[in-house]
Amino acid sequence: MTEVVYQAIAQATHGYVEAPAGCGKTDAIVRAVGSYCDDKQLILTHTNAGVDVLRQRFRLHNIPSSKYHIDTISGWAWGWVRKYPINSEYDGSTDIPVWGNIYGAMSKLLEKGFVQQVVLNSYAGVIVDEYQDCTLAMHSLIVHIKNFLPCRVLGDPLQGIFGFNNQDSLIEWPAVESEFGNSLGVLTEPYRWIKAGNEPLGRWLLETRPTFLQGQEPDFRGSPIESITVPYSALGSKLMGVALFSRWRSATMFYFHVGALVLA
Amino acid sequence: MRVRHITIKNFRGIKSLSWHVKGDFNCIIGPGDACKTTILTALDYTLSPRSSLVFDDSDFYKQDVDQDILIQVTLTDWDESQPEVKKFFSESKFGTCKCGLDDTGPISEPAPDGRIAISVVLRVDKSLEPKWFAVKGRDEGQGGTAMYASDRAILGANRLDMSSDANFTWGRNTILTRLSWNNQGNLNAVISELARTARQTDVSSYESITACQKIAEDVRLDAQKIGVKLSNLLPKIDIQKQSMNTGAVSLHEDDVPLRSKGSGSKKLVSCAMQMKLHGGKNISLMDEIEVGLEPNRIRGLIFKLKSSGQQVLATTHSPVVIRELNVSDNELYFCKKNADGSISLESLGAIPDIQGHVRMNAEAFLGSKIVACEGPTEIGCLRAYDRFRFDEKNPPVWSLATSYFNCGGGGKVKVITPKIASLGYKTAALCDNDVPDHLTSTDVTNLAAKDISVFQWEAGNSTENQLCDDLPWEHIPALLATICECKAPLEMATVVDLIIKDSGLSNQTFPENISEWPESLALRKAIGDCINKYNYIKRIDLAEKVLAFSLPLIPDAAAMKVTLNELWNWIQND
Repeated sequence: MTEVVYQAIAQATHGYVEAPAGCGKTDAIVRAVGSYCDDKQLILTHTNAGVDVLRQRFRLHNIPSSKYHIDTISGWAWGWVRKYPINSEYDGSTDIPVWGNIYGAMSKLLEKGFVQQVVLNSYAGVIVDEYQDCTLAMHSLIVHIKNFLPCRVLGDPLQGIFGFNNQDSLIEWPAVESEFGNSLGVLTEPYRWIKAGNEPLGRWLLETRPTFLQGQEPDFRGSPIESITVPYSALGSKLMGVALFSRWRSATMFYFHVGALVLA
Repeated sequence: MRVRHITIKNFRGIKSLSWHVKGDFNCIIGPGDACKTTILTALDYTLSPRSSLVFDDSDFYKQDVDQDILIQVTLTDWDESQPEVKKFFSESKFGTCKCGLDDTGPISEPAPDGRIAISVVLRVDKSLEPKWFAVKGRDEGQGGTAMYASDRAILGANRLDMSSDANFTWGRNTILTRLSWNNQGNLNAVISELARTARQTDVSSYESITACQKIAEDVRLDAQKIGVKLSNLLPKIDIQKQSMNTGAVSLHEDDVPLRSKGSGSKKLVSCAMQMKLHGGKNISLMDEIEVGLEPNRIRGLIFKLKSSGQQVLATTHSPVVIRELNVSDNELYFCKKNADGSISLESLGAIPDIQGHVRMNAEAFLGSKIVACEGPTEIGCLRAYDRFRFDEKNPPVWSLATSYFNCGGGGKVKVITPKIASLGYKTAALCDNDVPDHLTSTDVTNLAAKDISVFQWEAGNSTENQLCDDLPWEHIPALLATICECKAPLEMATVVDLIIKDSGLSNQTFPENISEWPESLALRKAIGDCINKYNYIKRIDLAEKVLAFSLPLIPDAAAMKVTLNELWNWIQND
């Protein structure tokens, strides 16, 4: 089943993969590139930590470095924009990045034929990880690439971190679905929980996703989750207890609810 | 790719140079020591895929090693569908080094609708170690993306002239090796295996060499297309090479190494190989393109080069080459070294309506000084005077890079000379003075303002009139006899009749023997008019002969000699 998704990622000209946390998203990228892509893929993510994780996984699987280039969206965009401040209409220093301007500037650059040609020379496709963390500006940049290069994105609509202002607001998942058109599959094996010896929790989370997606509170009865209710005034001391508790128990899920702490 | 701009600083005889290369076929002409060859060498060093280049102090302008050598070559027009070009312009190589090019030279970024370029710099400081970079825009002496020999191989530049014997061997980065790239396998391994076997056996039929055989046959077919017929071409061990390395296998025609062929054939064959390697997208550098080739082969080569789609940068000393080129396509550049060491290159195409003159006076454009003459009579006159003045103290005119230029009529002198002068040639004019409109005193003043010196005979005189005015009277009969000799079967009696009839003096009686004629200005004029009217000396060789006879007999103070002496001094000193 997952093998089909890997293949779909490798072969699609565009599409999205819904990948819940812990379901082997990194593996999916590594396997799709390593087993089913012939030419070099540009793999973009958000943080240097993310780049490291991907890089280590590619090395672990002995994928030749000629098949991939991993970068952060910001790092990749900045590398171009600082070389072409005029063409990108970037307003700022080329020594210190002004992040607010860079994604728009890179989108401008990606409209230039001479830049498109270099991207085409370098990569057969682009894969974007953690797409739910893309701001609207980043999304627009990726859409610019999608205009001339196969473009596949992976993300978990439930994991988006809040944006801080309108300019920086995150892309909504329905917009991702309509932009990238076809669904390349959903990753459904809760590898992280299986590996940690708590498969039932992983399964329960996957089963409960529809409820989360609808923005409703799930029914904890019969779930592998133990719940206790604490008064709001005692929240601080309970949280300290949880932090100490989690030191010896990995693969632990906390569910925070106003006035309540659920501990699994 | 195409070279579109070159900047040179502090390299050999060149203090500075900035050249917009406009055409596909670019030929540099100019006097000796104008650094024409240095320009090609600079291009060769910067673009060709040589991994080792040895510099020494004499490569620096005036040996001043504190001023870095800097050569920047900007190229455009590549084919980004070629796999190796794609690789070259990828993000991890030189994809983000693409820059722009405008009328001022390379600029850091492409302008909207502007040209997209790549700029390569060769820099040498006093450590004498050459370094190559891709830079964006004007090089300010720092930074850039390092560019290695294997990267530069993609640029497609190659020098094809006398020193190109290496092209016929399978050596490091030679054309043959690069042609063999795809089926090369491990060339070094093949060679060392050959070397081992060679010690024991005759290797001519050894299997490993068959990989090279296919290329050899391709080269033979391509050489045939360009007009060199070769019999069997074989890769063979060159026994002249002492050590067995990658250069040890070279192309042989039957049993003769190709490097022993005539220089013309070698040039044509390496040219054919080069075109094959880059599919016509290459850049050929050819110093003295005509060397070793007969005029018909020169024409063949130029035709072939022009129709191949490649770019050629060449120098020439051959009028045959000049006549084959189109100035309007910017195919000819005049190279001039200024006193401050800067080099200027001017396309002859910048001058309107000059093509005809270039073809007619091709030789004149190969010097640095031009004496524009009204017609062949004046040119013959100057040639005779040069012989007359030639002695050990004065260098002859030809050694001063001075050429005579036939303007093809008195009225054209004032039109043509400013054009020649604007190209950078030191220009003078020699005109007769029988038609006032041809060159008025205002014209002379205007030309002088453009640094053009004008030398003229006395008012009202054609060259023939001036000659007859200045030659002592007793030598006039011998002058006419010389003319008759030159114009045989012209007879003296005919000439005498014509002089008398045309002069309106037929009512007077003259002694039968011309040497008994009384001297008079009217008669001198009548004789001069006659020689002029019947075109007796309007050919370079005739004028030269007649003046060679006359000049030793004309007094130094006579107008003709005074004028010629002034012009002589201009040539010698100016």
